[in-house]
Amino acid sequence: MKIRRINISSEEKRLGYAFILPGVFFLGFFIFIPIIYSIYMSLFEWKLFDLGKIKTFVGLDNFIRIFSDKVFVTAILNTLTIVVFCLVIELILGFIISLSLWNIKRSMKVAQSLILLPMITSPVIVGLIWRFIYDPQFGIVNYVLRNTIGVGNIAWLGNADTALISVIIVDVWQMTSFVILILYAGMTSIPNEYLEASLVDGTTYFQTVRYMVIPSISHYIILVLMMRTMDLFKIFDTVYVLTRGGPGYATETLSMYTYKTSFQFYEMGYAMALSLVSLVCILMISISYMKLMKRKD
Amino acid sequence: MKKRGISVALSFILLVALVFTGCGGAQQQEPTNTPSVSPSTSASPSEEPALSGEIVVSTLAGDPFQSSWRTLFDKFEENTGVKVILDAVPWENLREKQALELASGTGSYDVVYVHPFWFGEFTDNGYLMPITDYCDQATIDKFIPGLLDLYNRDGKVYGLPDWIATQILGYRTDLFEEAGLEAPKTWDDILNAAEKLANGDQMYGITFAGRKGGALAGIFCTTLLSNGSWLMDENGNPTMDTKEAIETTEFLAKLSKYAPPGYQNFHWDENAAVANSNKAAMIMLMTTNAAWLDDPGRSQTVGLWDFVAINNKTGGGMVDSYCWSVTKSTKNKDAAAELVKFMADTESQIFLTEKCGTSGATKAYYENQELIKTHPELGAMNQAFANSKPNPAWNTWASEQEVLETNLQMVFDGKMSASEAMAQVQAKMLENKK
Repeated sequence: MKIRRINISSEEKRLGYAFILPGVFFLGFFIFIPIIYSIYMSLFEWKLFDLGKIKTFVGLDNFIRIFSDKVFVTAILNTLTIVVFCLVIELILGFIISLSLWNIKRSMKVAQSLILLPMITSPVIVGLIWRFIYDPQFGIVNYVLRNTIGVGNIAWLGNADTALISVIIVDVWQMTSFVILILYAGMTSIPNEYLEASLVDGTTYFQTVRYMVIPSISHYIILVLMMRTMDLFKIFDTVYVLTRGGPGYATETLSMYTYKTSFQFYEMGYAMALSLVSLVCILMISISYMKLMKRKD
Repeated sequence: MKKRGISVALSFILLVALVFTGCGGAQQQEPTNTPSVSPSTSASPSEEPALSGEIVVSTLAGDPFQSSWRTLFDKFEENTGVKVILDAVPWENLREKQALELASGTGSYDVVYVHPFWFGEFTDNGYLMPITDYCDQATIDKFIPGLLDLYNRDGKVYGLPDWIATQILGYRTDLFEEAGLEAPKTWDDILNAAEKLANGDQMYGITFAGRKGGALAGIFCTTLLSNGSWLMDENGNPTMDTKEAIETTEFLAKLSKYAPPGYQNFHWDENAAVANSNKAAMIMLMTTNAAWLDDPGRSQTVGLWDFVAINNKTGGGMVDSYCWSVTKSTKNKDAAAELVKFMADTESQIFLTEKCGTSGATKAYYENQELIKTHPELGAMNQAFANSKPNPAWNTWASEQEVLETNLQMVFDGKMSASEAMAQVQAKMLENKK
């Protein structure tokens, strides 16, 4: 089919450009210029408290330093562990719960609101709540464990062996609701005719889920994976409140380390190099997901 | 002629009265526990105020401090006629807000509440006025020299100290008495008591804040001082790989075996919560938190605590504080100076102790027996001041502190030796020094 082009007068074109100009200006001003400036500043060695002084040009030294920085390696490994575990658990749990809600078929407004509560709570508040929940002496987790299986005082956040898994649990608790929200929306968009047809064909419940539900919501799954991966890669506030990256470097994440490098150690050039590495990682992940989505199309 | 003579005589009397009123600040007042303090240099309400106009004071935001300062400012306003405008901002933004206002040189702030973290920056930039510009020797002599020295830069003092705090050791008098133990005088005493009084999950030998972010470094620094050493020598060379620093690390590692689970994620509040719930025989704490242990609303151990400085070769205390400073750009120097003296004065500090748990810096404050009776931690603080150092405030300390705290936690977990840990801190400090 031949697509007919709409004739737009040059005056209308100008008007169109005028409309998008403020958006392009703000996008450029707040996104592209800071990124370009960050790239430029990452080539210098400078401290935040040396604002008025001449900055030393070090070329790619800040980027080379990243490869020999043991804390960076630990931080990136911790971040990847959080990303992988959280994604898997949140996706499985989110899928099961949204499927259950979808099966009930009734208006579940109260349940949906309750499920969304953790997600709409500020991560700092979530961190504080979980610090109390995890408290070795007074926390409810240890209280329940002590009174059921007789396990003593576990230092959830104060022990290098359990701190990372504790952070993962908090994120799963908070953000599974986001997965539920998106997947449930996907499931409700499946036409009833498909379901009826599958029933007529005599498929089992699991066959329906495997061959109809999952393919129908695959775009939603990829979308949720992309958004969660990007979010998890930047995880900061929860970790900051829960452990500040400790004990040792047990819960040090890339964002946490970048923040410390810039605003605690004031090494701005190196911090910008770290930020750019994060940016590149997130971009690569996003592009991969988008390609996957296109392939699905 | 006769009339003129009377006028001259009256003017002279008024002048003398004003001079005497103005000099009142140098006279030491009897400290009281009542919050109804009056400024040491103020005129009595019935007299014409010597000062006028308004001043703007920059402090950190948050109660109980902000409201307590406001109460004192109101009293100052009442007694002097000077209007005090309080500009309180969150701690995280305080330095940048102050720096921005002071850099503009517009005189928008007359008095600033300065932390050691940015004190050096402010004095180097010439934002603060030396106290000798507005305090006579008698006023200066009222302060403990070591504490006044915290705000000394190149031989000049730029502020009057306030919010004095340090790390001390609290111990349960009832448990010590039962076990026939005396107040700990050395590290061995502390270890011995921890071992003797520890009783599984029922009672931990000691509790301390082991979280990264400053608490653990503070405990280390005070303990290091008690071992007769410091982070640097007199020439500014790092001394973290010394025998004393390694011994301090080893001592804390031994002590950590008697600490409750999760202490590596304890900040001061969680640390005190363990002691308050009758679960710890000893506690290393900030003096500002000592009142929590005697607060019936939050503690099951009211009246059971006494305090000593952390002692080994000597007492020691790394002092955290703020100072009240008059800005160089102030347009109302006299009023600003009076307010600074008023806020750091013994009576105001006693009021603040009652309201906020912070401590003062005058000699009279620590000699006030009434106050020591109700705040036993003050005696321990006084011991610690014999060998005190200010909270490290050099620009690279945050990165050194990060390595120090992380390595300490690793030593506590048995993942690193004390000498290796301290060698890494030393290397970091040397690298930063370059």
